[in-house]
Amino acid sequence: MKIAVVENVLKLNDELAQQNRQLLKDAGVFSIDLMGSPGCGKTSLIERTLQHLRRHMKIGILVGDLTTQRDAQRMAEYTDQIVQINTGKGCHLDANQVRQGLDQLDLKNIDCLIIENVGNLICPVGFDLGQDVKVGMFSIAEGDDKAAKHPYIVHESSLLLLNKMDLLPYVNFSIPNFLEDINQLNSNVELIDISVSNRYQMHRWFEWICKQTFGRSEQNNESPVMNWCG
Amino acid sequence: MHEFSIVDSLIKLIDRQPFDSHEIKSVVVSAGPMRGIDENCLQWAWKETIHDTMLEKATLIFKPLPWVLHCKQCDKKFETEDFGAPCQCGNPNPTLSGGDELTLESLEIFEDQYDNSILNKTD
Repeated sequence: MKIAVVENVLKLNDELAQQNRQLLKDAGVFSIDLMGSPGCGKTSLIERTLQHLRRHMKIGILVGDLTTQRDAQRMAEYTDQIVQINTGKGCHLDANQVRQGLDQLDLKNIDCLIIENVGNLICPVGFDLGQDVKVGMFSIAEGDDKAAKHPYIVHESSLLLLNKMDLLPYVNFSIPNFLEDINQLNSNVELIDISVSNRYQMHRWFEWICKQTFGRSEQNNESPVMNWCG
Repeated sequence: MHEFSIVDSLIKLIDRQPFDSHEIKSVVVSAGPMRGIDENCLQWAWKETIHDTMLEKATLIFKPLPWVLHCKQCDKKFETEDFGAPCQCGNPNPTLSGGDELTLESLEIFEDQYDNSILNKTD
């Protein structure tokens, strides 16, 4: 006897994610799920962001890795609102792990939460964590075909970062080919090309975060940070 | 390797259905190509996870779904196995509009179990 069910397989994760979303919304926290392959520069980006923006906004961090506390130790220099989540064999964060992390943060004292997902271009994308936006990160060193080979992260991201632009002269990377693939996968996505190491166009990323964090409600449009962001 | 997480989620969802797990003969799951699911890996994850559980006799049936592309020139949506396929109107760059599905489609109950199942009770 066959019985139709027709339910999203990840329904239970999505229900938990929705609870996280409400928790963050109630606390007034803007949240980012930062995804990208190992070594694309996620942790360095967050370090630089903390260095630059910590005087202007309160940033909390959840950072996912299979093992070690190294990323949290790197970022602890700039904030104490940080929780390292070790996933063991898990190749991505899920909504339950994020909820446990959120319970360890003082959300009322956070403007923007950055969730650094486990380094992986595939698995993290399908698991809703309760974030406001997903940000996908690529780097020049990975090659220009990575967007086409990983369509889901491009399709689901609100913003894409292309890091390590300083390596462009040394790597066989076609910017037009990369952009063509992105346009086919998600013609609405915003793209910022940056170099964390030499700070190329980092101001555009900082402006994006400021606008997303403080520009969403009219009453905050006159905040010092928005003025500072220009 | 997100296939193990997907199987874990699937089993939790099955546990919510109004049947005992040992009554289930097969489970049908469909997924679009964007989900990046490797069927062999999914089947392996399924077998590893259900071993020595009430679901041990259940078979997983995986149904891959096609890409869905949208042509902005002629405003048509079409299904294709090739994500880079052009539209029939000649547009070489239709945009992606579907292929991210991940659905528990149906369950099959052993016939002898079905006689006693919750669905057969008429009060």
